[in-house]
Amino acid sequence: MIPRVAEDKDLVLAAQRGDIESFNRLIERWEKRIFNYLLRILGDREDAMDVCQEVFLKAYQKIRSLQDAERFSYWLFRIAHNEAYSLVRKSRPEEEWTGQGDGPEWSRRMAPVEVSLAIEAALERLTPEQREAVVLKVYQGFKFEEIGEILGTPVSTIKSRLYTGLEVLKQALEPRLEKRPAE
Amino acid sequence: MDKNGRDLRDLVFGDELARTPEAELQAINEHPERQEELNRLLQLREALLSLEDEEPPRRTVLVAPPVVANPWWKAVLGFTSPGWGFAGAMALAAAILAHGWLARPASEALVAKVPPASIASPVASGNSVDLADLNAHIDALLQQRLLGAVTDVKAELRQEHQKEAKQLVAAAEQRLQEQHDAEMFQMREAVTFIQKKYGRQMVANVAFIGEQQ
Repeated sequence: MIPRVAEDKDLVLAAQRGDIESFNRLIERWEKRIFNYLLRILGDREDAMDVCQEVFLKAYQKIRSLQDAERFSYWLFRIAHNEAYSLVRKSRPEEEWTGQGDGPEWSRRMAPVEVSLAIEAALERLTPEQREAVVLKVYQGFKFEEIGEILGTPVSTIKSRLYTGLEVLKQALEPRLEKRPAE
Repeated sequence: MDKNGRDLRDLVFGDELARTPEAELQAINEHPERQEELNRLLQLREALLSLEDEEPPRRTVLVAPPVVANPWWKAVLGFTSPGWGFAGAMALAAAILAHGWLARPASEALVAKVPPASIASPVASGNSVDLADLNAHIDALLQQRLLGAVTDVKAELRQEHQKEAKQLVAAAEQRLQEQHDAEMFQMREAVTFIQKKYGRQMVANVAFIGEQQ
């Protein structure tokens, strides 16, 4: 899942000693994943980019508090998760974060093929918790226990959110899936 | 779930798809309903994964701030509240000490003994200030004032000593006089007693002689 744990560990240890270039190398490695994670749960490119930068800034400020350097990725995603929810709470304090109001933003995203639009539209139907579980599991490839560590949620809850979300996605994408040949 | 009790969603989206034995997958394929469900889940997974990651519109790079030595006034202005309080207390203490030094009572003897123009000032006489001359001038002034002060102190000490000696002598004389007076008084008392005793003895002797005759 994470093929560069040892190298990341070295870079984290160097960053903890104040080596800013090592931290910049960590940013290079993780920025795309963090950005896409944020993009898929926030649904807005600018928000995702702003939060992404904030995530790495906070990570750098707190890097010395990370005791186990090998758990850098989970720790980083946890910061991203907290920052994303913090942004949502700030920007929409009165209403529940459902993601339903982000339709236009989602549809403005880059959509090179028709299926991408369909998937994005299907992801919109999920609750934020379900969407985050799907993003972390399917797109980021984390194991359930790792997702539990990132979100601070029991594995059973994460499985429930994921499978409920997948049912919604399956129903939303059913017509399109039927057109595709089964493997 | 299949006949082995495995949740197909776990198989496709869980942590174990890559580790699932081929035989188990074949067993699932032998059941048309399970196979159809598995295919649907695999198609869903493939569709979801077809949504490619985007590149971030701009890159994040942290830049180390340049190391610049702060000027002293920035360091002062950068005090925290306790720092300002401490600095204020120090300034107040310095002001009190300076005031105490400047307002000290001047020694008249010291001032009188130092003629202001007794040593030529190199600052006033020369066109340029020579540090060595200035130091020598200051040393000479200091030495002269020191000598004056020492002389003055010695005179004061001598006067004090003489005054104290006189007081001691006077006290001793008075003490001797008092002792002498006391002894004279005792002497007179003793003579008076002896005279009275001698007189009574004489009267007794005369009376005895009279009786004998």
